[in-house]
Amino acid sequence: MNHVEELAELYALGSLGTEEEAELQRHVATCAACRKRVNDAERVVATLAWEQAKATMPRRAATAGATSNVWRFGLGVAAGLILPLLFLLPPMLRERNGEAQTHTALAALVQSHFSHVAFVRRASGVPAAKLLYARSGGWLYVIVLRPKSDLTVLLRSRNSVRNAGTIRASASDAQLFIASPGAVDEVLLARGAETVASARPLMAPRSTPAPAARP
Amino acid sequence: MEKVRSPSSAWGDARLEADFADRRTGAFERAYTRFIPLLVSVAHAVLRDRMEAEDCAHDTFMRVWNDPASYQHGRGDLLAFLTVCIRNRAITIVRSHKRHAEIIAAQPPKDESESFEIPDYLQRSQLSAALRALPPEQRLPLRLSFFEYLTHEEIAQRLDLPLGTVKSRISLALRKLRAALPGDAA
Repeated sequence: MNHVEELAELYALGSLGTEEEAELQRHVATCAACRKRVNDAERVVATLAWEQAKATMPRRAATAGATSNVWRFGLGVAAGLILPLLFLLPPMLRERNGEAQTHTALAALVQSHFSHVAFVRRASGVPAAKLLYARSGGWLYVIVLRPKSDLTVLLRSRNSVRNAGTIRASASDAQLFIASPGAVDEVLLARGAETVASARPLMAPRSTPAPAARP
Repeated sequence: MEKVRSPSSAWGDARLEADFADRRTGAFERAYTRFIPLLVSVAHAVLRDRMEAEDCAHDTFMRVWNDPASYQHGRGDLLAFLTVCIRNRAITIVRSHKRHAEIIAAQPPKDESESFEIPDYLQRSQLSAALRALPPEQRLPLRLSFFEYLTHEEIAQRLDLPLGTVKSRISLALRKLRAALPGDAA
């Protein structure tokens, strides 16, 4: 690729296609002059974007340190799991310094061990909700944003539906942590007898072979 | 208005940028906890949906962290880099969801003439004078690109201009704004 020239500004504005952008990134990795021009453009667009963000972000989510951020819960879960899991980490991840251990475990958990999916809402008036889960199937974490009524969390697997607990109505965010949930094909939120939302975690394949035909 | 962390305080943190480029585990936590509220708000400004914005910011942050080639030593301001990565991803999501028209319709009415009224929130910006100083033929393509997320092909079509002309005008406009920013460049 030749020097990026005006593509630097178009990239910073999000106007390039995927291929063009990848080519630009490869080039700037080896060209200091283009790296400078791209970073200059990034600083301008970032400054505009921060001003735009200040003007459009809802108060709770925009405020630094907001407690409702879903990912703070996610990191909280990871942090809560650090101590027991430290003993399970490979020796190469264990370090003498306790703080370093925490960082290492947190990074290992965040990078490789959990994923997330939003609940699909099936009825009106259902609050937004998210499912964080260990891909190994070790835990589930259901987060509901300001539920106006109690919601029952149901775990559906091939042959059964189990009640995992209740998320209580709350003016703030509410959550339910489920350790060792076993096999789960789908997580359901029920309001009374009505299923109002569902989410499908993509967990690692189970060790037991699946039956030939589903019921 | 809102108490978003001042971005300028994050610029020039050479140690964090070096640690991030080396993918030191402590750098992940430091950068994530320091930047993610602002990065989510940047994604939200495009997507207008809180959870989608959180997903976008988190996923893009993780993608950058897991790809050592994406941010390397000497790449420049980490926060500006992450901001553009996440904003570009949010713009891609908007386009892929075919929600473009819907999001534009939800934005406050704005002057559609070529004068490019500067939004209120930018009046206070250090860039406002530079924005006002841009000639209309540069301001309008910039507005269509930054605020309406149009591709340069779409802008060329909308303004009935050659594609090369649109690219040049946007590029020139942004470089003029760069000259107005404090810092080591310009």
